[in-house]
Amino acid sequence: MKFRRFNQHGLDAFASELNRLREDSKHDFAASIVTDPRFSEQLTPEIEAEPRNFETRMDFSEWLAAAASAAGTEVPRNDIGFWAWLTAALFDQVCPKNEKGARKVGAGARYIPDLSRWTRRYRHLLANPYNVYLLHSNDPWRAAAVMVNPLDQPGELTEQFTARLDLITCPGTMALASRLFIDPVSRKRRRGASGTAARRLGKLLNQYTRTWDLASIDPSDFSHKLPKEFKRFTV
Amino acid sequence: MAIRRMNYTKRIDLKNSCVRVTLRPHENGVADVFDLDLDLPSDLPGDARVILEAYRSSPPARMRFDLGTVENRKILTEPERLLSDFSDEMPAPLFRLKVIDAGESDGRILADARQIRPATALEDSSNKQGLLHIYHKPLDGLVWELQIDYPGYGPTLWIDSEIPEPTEFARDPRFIALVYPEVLRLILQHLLIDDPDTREDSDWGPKWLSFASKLPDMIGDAPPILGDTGDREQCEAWISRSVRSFASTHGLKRPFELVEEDSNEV
Repeated sequence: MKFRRFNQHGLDAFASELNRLREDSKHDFAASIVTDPRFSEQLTPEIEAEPRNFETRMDFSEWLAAAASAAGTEVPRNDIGFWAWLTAALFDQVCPKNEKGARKVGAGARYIPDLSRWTRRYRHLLANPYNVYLLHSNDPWRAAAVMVNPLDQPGELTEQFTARLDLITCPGTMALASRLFIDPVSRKRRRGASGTAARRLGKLLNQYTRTWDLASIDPSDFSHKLPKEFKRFTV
Repeated sequence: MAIRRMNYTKRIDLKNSCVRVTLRPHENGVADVFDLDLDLPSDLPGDARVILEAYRSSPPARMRFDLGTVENRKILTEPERLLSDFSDEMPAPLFRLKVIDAGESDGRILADARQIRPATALEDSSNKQGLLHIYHKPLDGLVWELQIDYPGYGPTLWIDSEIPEPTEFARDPRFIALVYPEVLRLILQHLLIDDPDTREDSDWGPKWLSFASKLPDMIGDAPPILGDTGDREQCEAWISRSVRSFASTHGLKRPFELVEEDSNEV
């Protein structure tokens, strides 16, 4: 598959398909918009990769980084048309059908990046994991806490961390969150590592970054400063 | 009533004047290199560590530079000051300087300066910075777009990067004549009508209002406050007067008058 970018017609067509799916969850997604030359143009320089089944956000990010590296170029991270096209090309993974053949379409910014509002710009289901992956490219598993979910279900923990620049860009914070919430053997999220615990940790760390330079503190030392409620994750 | 502010952490809020960051292009042409001018208060502990961070929210990026301690500052070489993670056409990063305790409360922030906007080597030494930030990116069919409150920057004029020589285009007198008055109108409309809180709450709002109020035809004509010293109609009228004054003061019509003379000659 050679990567392309939607033009304005392509973006409109994709947005219209999303709206149809919101009205009728069993609407047959018009996958032809991905290849129709009226809606998109090929990226220059070219990037090419064969899609596969991505179990996690990390799998997808590794695949995309490898494709760009093989092409000797960089992914156009600011290009809305590119991210929207890739989302349409991988639509069955980004918005899969359930057992009844219905799709549940979420907010538009999950599929077409909305860079104009800081409250939405991190919500894109493909741009977001890739940006996190690049931030921690020297040790991607440090960010495992927000990378082990499937593409279509980033989860509360991801939402809490990726919305806060101070947290998501901080190696110490991400290492701490992953240490707390990821099982080192199975490399999956621990039980209870979402919902209230995720929200609480996000808020706590956001407070701590005002007083402490988390990047210069060892995560295992810092985990002892956390309130009792996190003890079950530190054992 | 004055708002009482508490500072339980005793953290020192460094003035931006203590930290001056200047960007200049590196010889590799891909990324900028920063120069730092630091003037820290004398009451900070000598062994406290000094860290400079460059960051941007979209796409997210952060680089961290260890500057040694307050007493023994580390002098970074030019390659060590290269902003390699910001090597694209997006706006320059913002900076944060932290002074961090190395004693009993290891890791505690003792002093910091946030949202430091770097100057470029082209700006004069008095740190005079323009009101409007101009950057380039693909706009998918649009020639220009105004983002009123680009985080950390304020009003930002985006120009389509696919236009040939977009930097030159922004300086074209016809582009300035057609676009800048509208930009001024949109910003003043935001400040006076759409979101009046930004008139005082933002870093950039007071500067734009001061700019408009000091235009030759506007002296003594204070901007109305919606619902207090003026209604919507009065605000709109004040904005129109400012925009006209701006256009006439800068002779924006001139490029088109020349065209008219030329066409009469034919």
